[in-house]
Amino acid sequence: MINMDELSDDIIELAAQGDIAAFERIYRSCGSFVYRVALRMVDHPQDAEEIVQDVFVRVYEQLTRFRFESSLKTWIYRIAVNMSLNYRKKRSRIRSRTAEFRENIQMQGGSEKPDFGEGDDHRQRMNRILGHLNADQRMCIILRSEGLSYEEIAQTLTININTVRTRLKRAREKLMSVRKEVMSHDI
Amino acid sequence: MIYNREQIKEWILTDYLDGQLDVSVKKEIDECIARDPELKALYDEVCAAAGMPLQSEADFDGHPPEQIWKNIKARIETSHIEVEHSSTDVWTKWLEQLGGLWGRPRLSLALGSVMAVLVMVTWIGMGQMRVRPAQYNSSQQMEYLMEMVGADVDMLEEDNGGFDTAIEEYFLMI
Repeated sequence: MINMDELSDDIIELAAQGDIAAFERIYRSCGSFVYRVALRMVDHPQDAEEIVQDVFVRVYEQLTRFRFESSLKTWIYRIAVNMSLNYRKKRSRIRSRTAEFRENIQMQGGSEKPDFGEGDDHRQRMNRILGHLNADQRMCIILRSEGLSYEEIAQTLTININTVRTRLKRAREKLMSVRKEVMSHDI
Repeated sequence: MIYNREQIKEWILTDYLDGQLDVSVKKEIDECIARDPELKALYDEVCAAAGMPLQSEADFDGHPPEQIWKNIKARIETSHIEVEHSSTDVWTKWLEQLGGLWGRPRLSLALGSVMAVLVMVTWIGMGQMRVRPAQYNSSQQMEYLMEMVGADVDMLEEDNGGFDTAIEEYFLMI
């Protein structure tokens, strides 16, 4: 889905030397991918935007260490995936404390509703469905939906290709059971 | 080649659905699905379920707002990233990281405790290893010296503190 082939080694080297224009080309090539992955891993667009910023600042910092052993695409994917997973973990810790706080408030008669930003029903539904999967399965499904091959997913997540297969299989089995449940509720 | 049913089900959930199979294998699975209503039902169900999280994608362009690039650029230009690109020595970075620990009270406390325990263990260990001074027994020492210089017991009995004895003579000669 992402066309990063036009990024030559010269552009990467220029960006590594601190050339902002060259770095902007890298951002334009894969910013959307990073944003989409982040948006599906976390619930809020604001959080996803924060992740994208952190990922590209990290990429810029680390670009001098990029050795051209793997493709830049895979390297950036890996940073994006790791940062999204870390952000999600950090967020879930904060959220569990916040949920406890909200419960207390509601018990005292308050009425706070979760704020999902601009009321994006579609995104909420997507996140609810993906919420049935664990973080590893969710990431495999997200990367696959981005058009990555099993090989690329394995490289990005630094796991075995058979592990990718297993995670996808379990994720889809889970999604099938979720679908059955949703349909039985509709009936 | 004839594949076992479980294998086909697994492929339907993974490689077949994702188009990762060889053309020849895919063709055989196509035929199996066409023949077997149960496999066909499974395939339809998997397609519907796997597509569920993506149903909302149609209205989701997935492009980050332009402001993000501006923020990234600002962060790159104002932060200490330039320092990274210059040849900053490792020692300075390490000191910076160490200084950053003060911002994390829990980590600092944990490290401090570990250091304190290490210092205590080292101190106790050193105490155990220290050579204790010998407990001198003057009579034993005297006997040893007498034996060494070939003196006899009478000299001790003179009670002159060792003066004018073979022991004194021996040490004066040395």
